[in-house]
Amino acid sequence: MSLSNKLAIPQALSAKDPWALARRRARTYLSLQALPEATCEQILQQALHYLPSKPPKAESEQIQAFLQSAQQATQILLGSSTYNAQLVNSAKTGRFVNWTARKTGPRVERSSIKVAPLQAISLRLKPVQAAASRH
Amino acid sequence: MDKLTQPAWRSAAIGRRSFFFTAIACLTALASYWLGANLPSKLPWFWHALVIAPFSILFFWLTLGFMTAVTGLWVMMRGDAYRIIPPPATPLPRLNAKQTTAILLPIYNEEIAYVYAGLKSIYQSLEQTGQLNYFEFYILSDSDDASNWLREESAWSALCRDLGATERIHYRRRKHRTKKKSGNVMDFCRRWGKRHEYMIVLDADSLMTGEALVRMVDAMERNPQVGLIQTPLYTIGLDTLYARGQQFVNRLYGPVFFAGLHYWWLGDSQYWGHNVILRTRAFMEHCHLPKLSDRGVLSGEILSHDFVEAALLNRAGWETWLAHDLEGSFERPPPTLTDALKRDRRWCQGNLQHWLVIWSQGISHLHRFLLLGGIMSYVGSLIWLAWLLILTAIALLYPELTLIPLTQDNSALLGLTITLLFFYKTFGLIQALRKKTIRLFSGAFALARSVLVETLLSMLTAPVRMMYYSKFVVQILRGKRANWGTQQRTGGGLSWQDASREYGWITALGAAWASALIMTNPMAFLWMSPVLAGLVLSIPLAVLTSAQTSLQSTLFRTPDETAPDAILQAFEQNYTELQQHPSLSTRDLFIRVVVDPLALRQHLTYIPHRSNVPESTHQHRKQWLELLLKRGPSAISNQERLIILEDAGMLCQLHTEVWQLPEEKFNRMWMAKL
Repeated sequence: MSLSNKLAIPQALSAKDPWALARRRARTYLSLQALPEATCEQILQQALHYLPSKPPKAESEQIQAFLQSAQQATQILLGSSTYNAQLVNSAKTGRFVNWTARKTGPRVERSSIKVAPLQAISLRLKPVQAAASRH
Repeated sequence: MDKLTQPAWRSAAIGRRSFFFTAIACLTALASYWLGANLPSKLPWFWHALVIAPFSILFFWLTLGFMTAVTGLWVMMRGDAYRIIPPPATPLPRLNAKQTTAILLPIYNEEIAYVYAGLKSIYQSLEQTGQLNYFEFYILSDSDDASNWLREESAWSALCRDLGATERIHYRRRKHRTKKKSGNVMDFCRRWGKRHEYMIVLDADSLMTGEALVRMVDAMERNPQVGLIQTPLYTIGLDTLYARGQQFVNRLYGPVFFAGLHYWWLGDSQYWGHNVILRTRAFMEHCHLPKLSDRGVLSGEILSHDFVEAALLNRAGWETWLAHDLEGSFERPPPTLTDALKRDRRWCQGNLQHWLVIWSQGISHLHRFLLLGGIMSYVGSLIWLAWLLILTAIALLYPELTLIPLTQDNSALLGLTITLLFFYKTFGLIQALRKKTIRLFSGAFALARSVLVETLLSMLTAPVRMMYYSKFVVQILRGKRANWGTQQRTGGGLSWQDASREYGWITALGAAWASALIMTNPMAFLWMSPVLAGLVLSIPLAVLTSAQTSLQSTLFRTPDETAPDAILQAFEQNYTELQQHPSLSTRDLFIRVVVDPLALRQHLTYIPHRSNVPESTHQHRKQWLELLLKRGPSAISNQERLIILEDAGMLCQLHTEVWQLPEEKFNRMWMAKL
């Protein structure tokens, strides 16, 4: 079954559990980070504790709230500085914090390079030569 | 360089070039005299001039090719004291360089599996020499396709992990692509030129053995006056009839021609753009090419930069050499005649520009001549066509005259022309016999058959090239620019429909030309029939030569197929593996980077984090972001994707907002395509 099919939420289920869709989204997000299944479950269970008592009406707000809770749970379970905690955090804040750019090449040591001159040969005599030839 | 301290090869070069060009001039003069003396006396004088002048030019270049082969055979039989790299049988030297040599791989929207398989094979081959620590690799990307860029990036990361070579294989993508490949190499020099005394420039389809690379660096170390060493290029790896014919010709006759070029070039060699080692400092000081500012149709950036760079190095006093018998330097030929012609369209424009460079101050006379040679490889076709048209006009206007009567002189001229055109082929056979490599060409019978078939094919394709090259020259001189894109490196199987569309005009022209001659002057038709046959048969010829052949077939079989070098075997294996590598998935990688947090994280580490994006630009990009969220990943163009992919803040925001999209939209637009 494809990832998108797995994400489909039965209507009845979403009516029973208002957080079903958001939970599922958070689960998918965690699953893309190669976290062990048990850890994902643990984070999701823990996240339930940080959810607001009344679910927001808008679908996007529900997802946002759940992802935010999952992030809190991840910080508690895995520690805030871990790689996976940062990944989960990124979905909430839209920023990847504390990540330094990776080098793709050695340190740059700039050189300035002059353009090679390509002046055409002049068949006309230079002023000095011209003067000499006149005498 | 002071004339008093000139190296010994200089005086040898003067002697060799004097002999070489005197022989060419004598043969050309003799042939032109024979032709002129035997033209019908009733023909007015201006027709005489119109026949003899183009003939002399064409004969001069034909003789130059022949003399190159003759001197090449001489070098191969007798050896040459003036050589830059010791003979192949000498033991592999141990390097002792202070700095690593940079191996540059400039790429532009190439097939990544192919390019990286080559790089991996070169890496492994160097590893086997035990001297890998003297080299570093730089992938210099100019790719402007968002998916290609992401694919290059992720495949590079995987390759480094696979080889444990994070500190040895570097990746750089230019954001602003100025001056194409030469600009890309110069960009490397500006950033890292100081780190490397030598750089080896490759092409996307280059393969070089570790042994060849080590020998080149060693030669540079031993010869501080040398600025460049070009290696002979052997074409390999394709299975279309056209490509295999090219590979066969290159393998059989190539060594003789490389040796011949070495004979008269010596330390003033030309540069063919890749599979070359350059002294970085010399290159940086003298080879930053200016824009040609003349206002004519040839102005602008110098497209065929290599010939000019060699001329500039020479002008500055650096020697440039061709390592004529160095083994282990390979490239791929174009797969079909059509692909070869497309490449020639670009090269033609680049070479014609050299007309403006020829007249630059300080360029050596030999390099002026070599630049002219590059121009003549295309303009020569136009002259040939003009000459044939002049002969046709005479045949039509003076049907009662026998234009080329079978006199003794004309028979001698015919014999001489045939010798110059075909006799060099025996030199390749002599070499195969001497080196006992006939069995590697599948035996004497298969070799003879391949030579005959190739001769026939090249006779038939020559007129087609003549028509196309003439068309290119006229187009360029009328101001039509070529599209300098990615070269087609694989494929084949031209359909009849496509061939008719591409070559129909040549067939029609050939048929009309032949009909006119048959009706008015059958004798002239017979003389021109080899050319006319090529024109009339251009469509089937293009279809036939684009067909794929079995590599087991003995036709055009080369030693590289019978007993391939270890690097060629490694390449095949690496290529097969890399084609299946997940990092080279053909899916839209833009979606992956936006959705997949791991891919996003990896990508973000490769791009600079800029916080000074102007507000107006930010607002503009925000509109694209809204479009993406509303309509999905295909809502913005490739160029817009490239900009978003370079904006870390915008990417993170997009990532977050995509994950918060309503279920249906999220699945349909993003997850389903992940």
